[in-house]
Amino acid sequence: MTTTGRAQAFDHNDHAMRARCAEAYAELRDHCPVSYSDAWGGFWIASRYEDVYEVGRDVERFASGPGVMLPPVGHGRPLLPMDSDPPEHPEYKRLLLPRFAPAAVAGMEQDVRDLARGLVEGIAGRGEADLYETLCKPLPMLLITRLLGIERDEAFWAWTDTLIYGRVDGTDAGEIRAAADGLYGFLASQIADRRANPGRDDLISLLLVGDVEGRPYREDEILDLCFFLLIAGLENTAFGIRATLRHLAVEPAHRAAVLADPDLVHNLVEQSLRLYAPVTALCRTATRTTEVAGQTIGEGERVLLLFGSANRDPAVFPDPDDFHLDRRDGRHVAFGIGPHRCVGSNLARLELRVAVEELLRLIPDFRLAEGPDPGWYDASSLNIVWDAR
Amino acid sequence: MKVEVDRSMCVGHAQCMAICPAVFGSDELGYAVVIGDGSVAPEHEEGVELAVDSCPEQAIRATD
Repeated sequence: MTTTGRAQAFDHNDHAMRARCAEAYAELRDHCPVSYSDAWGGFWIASRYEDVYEVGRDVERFASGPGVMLPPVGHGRPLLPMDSDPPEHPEYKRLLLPRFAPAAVAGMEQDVRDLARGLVEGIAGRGEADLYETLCKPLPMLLITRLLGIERDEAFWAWTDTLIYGRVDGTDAGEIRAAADGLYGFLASQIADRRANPGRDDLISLLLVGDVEGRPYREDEILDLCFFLLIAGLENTAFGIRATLRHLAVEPAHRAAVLADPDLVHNLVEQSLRLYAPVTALCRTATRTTEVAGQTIGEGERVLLLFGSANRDPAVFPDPDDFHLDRRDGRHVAFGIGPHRCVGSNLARLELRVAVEELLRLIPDFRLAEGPDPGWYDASSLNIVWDAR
Repeated sequence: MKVEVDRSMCVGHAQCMAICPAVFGSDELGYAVVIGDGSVAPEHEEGVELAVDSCPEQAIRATD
């Protein structure tokens, strides 16, 4: 039965909730599939797969322009193309998608593999390492800066660290603001450089030729697209790689199975994305008073798409909380659903797969270091040990 | 078996082309296209069924 439920203080960002998310999500789905939380100024929560599917696909009833991050990022600028609606949104994607289509991403595989291999070679002789700092974080960072054609310096690393990794761990708002200002300033200078030196092949140069129905992009659009291209694949990809590698550390049978049958890496990646979805949730804003699963949603009210819960909905995935290495379960919504599907999903999948392959190639047998299991749900250290020869 | 992709529903998750590249290809944007006339050879039927099952947008229809 659907009721006007109140999940009161449900907060998808709460780490304690994420640690026991199987129960928390099941409770929402079973008792109040579209419930209401008072957190972050109030929002509705779509927790079942079918409701996430319905809301995510319907861009007329549910807008993204008002902002899809909950809580919003601290610097007040839109994250494009995520925080946009037609007519701009399809035009942004028309420009970007060819660069992230399967054929284009397949062409990056050797580069990604070389980067991952270099990182793993750097630790292989040590016998112990924090995989988060030595592989999960640097791989996406090395890759996206290469795609954007930017050089990294000390300040750049510090800004991204504060902005990307600090958002969820309580870094001071002023510090986040200062890091955002620094990063936007840096990117603005990069854009000016591309204008002065046209014809390069990087993503920043690509943005300069974009248009919305014949109108060239405004400067603020270029900057916002550029910013989000940089940050979108950093934390999320690092989180996804970390969760996948941790899984291999705590499930030796799965590690052995992937070593014995390398094709299983695809199922490994999909199951990891399904169960440990790096983006737990994003929201939409109702453009008019409407209904979802019998629940009235008022115009202007927000609806959270709880991807993490949809991915564990037993109506779609039997025994949803188990890691099924023998199943693909490709219908999961870790990359979202509908027209706002993550532009970089093909690249993210490649990075996850190659990180696994290159780690297992040099370090096939490893386990968590002594101490408590760091869990999949935190973007924190992942210390492992192995017999280095 | 025949298969078709509803282009109004596909958003380019690219699961189908990863699972069954003999039947599903990609256009320039990464959206799915069926290779050929939509007839599925018997050896690809299992792959097509997995692709149908793996499409988050439910954009693929297979008929016997």
